[in-house]
Amino acid sequence: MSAPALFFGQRGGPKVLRCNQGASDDGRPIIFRVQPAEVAPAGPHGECAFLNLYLTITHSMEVPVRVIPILDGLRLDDEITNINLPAPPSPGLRVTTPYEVALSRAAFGFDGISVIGRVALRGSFFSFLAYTPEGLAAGALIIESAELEYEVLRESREAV
Amino acid sequence: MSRAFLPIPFGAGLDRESGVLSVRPTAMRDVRNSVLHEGRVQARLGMTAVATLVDEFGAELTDVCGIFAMREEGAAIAVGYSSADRRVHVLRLNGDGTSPEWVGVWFTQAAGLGVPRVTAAEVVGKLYLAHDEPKVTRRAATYVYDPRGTSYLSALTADLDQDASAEDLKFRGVVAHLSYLIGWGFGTGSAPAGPQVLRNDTPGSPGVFAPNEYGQFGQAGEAIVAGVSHAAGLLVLKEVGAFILRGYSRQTFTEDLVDAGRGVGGARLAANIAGSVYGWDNDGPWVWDGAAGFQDLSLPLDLGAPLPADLVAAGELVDGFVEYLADEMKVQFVFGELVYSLSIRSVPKWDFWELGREAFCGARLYGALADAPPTGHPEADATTDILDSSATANFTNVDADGDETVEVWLKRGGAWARKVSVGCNGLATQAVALSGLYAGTAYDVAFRYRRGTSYTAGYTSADPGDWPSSSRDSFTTSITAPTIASSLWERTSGISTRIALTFTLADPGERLEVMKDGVSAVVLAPGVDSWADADPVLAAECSYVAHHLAVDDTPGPDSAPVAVFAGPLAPTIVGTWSTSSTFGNAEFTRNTSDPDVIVEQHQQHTSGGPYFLQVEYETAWGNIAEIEKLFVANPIPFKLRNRLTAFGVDDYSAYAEDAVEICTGCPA
Repeated sequence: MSAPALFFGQRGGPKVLRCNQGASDDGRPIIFRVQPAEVAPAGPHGECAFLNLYLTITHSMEVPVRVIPILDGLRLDDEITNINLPAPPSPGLRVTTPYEVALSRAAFGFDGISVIGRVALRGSFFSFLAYTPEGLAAGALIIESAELEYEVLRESREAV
Repeated sequence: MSRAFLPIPFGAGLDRESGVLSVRPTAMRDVRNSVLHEGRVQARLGMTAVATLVDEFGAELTDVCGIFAMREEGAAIAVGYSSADRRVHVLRLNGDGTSPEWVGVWFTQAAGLGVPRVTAAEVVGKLYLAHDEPKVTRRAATYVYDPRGTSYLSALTADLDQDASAEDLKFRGVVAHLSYLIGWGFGTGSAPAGPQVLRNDTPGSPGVFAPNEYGQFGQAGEAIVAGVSHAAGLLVLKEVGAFILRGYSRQTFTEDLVDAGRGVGGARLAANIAGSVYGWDNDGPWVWDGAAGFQDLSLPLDLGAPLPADLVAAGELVDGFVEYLADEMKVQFVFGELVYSLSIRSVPKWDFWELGREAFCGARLYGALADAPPTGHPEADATTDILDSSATANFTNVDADGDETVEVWLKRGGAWARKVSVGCNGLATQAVALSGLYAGTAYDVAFRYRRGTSYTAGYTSADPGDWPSSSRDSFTTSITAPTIASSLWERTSGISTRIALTFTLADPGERLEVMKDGVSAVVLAPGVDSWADADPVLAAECSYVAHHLAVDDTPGPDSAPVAVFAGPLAPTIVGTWSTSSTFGNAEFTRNTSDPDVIVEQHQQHTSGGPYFLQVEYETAWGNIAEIEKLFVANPIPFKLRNRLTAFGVDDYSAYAEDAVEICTGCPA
């Protein structure tokens, strides 16, 4: 007798599915997704320039990871960073690599359309969404803890 | 201002409830398809299909309703559903979920109920299957899968109402607790409603239920939904309200209320996992460790708030189930494609899993038994009880230890396939019922022993043709004639008519060929029991017979022929008489209650002359015809026919003909 394995029975189909096996759900992609709680380094009423996000990723799979900043609760879908995780030097080998995600956003001219430069993300609360847009590949993918580089522009009001 | 760095540690799991100023820094607002570790988040692994369930004819089933471990046998039982005919099938799987073998049909789900939910309990080598249907009138009988029985699928019966006749027990759910089989939701055969009733089988007699071995939990009418065995006792759960049955016998059983405000949302939404019971009710998830009331687990999920817009939709609460992914120490509350996944590695931590396939049930399976190869072997005896779709395969156990599994293989045409596996009964001979066979078909049958994954020496080949010849027998199934149950001509428009035929199928699994006037008119798919012959030649008679076709197209015996006139039914003349020297009478039956049908009376002006329409009888005129004596000869011939007017078209039946003897001595 071996250790028990978990199986699911399909609804809308005839399949018995073994869980915790393979890189897809019977051929359908698995979208891995992480969105940590928001942080406010200068306090809830302060303001920061959020400069860089450092993600440490351990992986043995070749897969793209997409990172989208979330500023004061708003997802900045125009400021996507793609991290293409390369295949490890040998199959199954886990490598741990830090990745730097530069945080900025487009600055527009008076017409509101033409981009005239890029400016730092300024706000109180910061978070981000990291996910695998194309699903997973064979191997492991671990997002280690992240680190946020910022500069305080205005401190939060002191308690009275 | 100088630059600074802020760590964002991971690992606390979902927290959708805390405000932005109070949320823990390690919490996640959204995390999906992950395994949560301390300080990091790992992508989960996937799901791999290991078996596809099919019915006895090889047609894929549409849903998997249940999977259950058979630990004593190192195997598993799956229950599958076919939405096409609503039949619920039982199949046997290997202990690793592979190699499904069709065992039999459990029941046919009532119309309109959807995919059935089932629960099961393994007690002393048998698996008891219960249909989780709230209405007892629509609930199927509790069935027993006995791998060592001749009929390995049978209804569980007992004489609970003591009327000297054992009735089918219809438990809503079953569970194994201590050495008992526990079932609930059934009263007796004569008073089947008993939603609050819980019964235990007789100590020392597994599966035998006595009238006085029962208890009632909570308010009558509030149904027991689930039962979970725990070290503290049997946790009995209603939709709202939880009780515990402590003790080990009828003399020591006691019943206590555990939590009056929490319960369970479905029969499969509570389970004993790592010593604690995890469940989900209308208010969300909870855990119970055997002490006081339930501990709520729902806060981080903030179930009252909207879920992320791009999260897959959850299935119905009642169809949900809870299972345990031991590899990752995750309690999985599964609702279709959405899983609320609770890591119990350290402190409870939640995340969402989005499944690529909708799940309806789950089970932990324990793999196949790994033991020494068997040393004995089965020898085939003559197959008996051979019918159209079933037979009894017989074999002699030679040097059996009694713990072997007997594989029964069948060959139809070129390829062998394992039909079924049963437990060796350890006796001299054994019989195995084979069902789901094709009618009128030659089969070879072969037997071998298996223990775990090992076979007797000489029987290891996947081709039974390589096994010793004593392991094989041959037989041919019979094929029976169908019956043409009804035939009816009808007009369907101003330009079309049809003859509708219905059949009583002798072999629903075989095709049906309909012959019209000796020529093949149509071949109907298996199970189809009606056909319409469009636009037959009007006012002519057609002859139909039907027969089943074997798989190799060999026709079986014909049904009794049926002749159908392409037109309305003809009237019947039931008697004639005369009390007048100038006319006679005839009584007729119209053979239809359709008020649009007119009976026409035709007569001759001269003996042997052409017939003409003498009179028409509407329904209100009654059923007595008056035949006028228009010429000297006696008796006077006449004929009647029905005329049906529909869609602006007149259709005529065949004539009913007779002659009436005019009374010559009677007054005019």
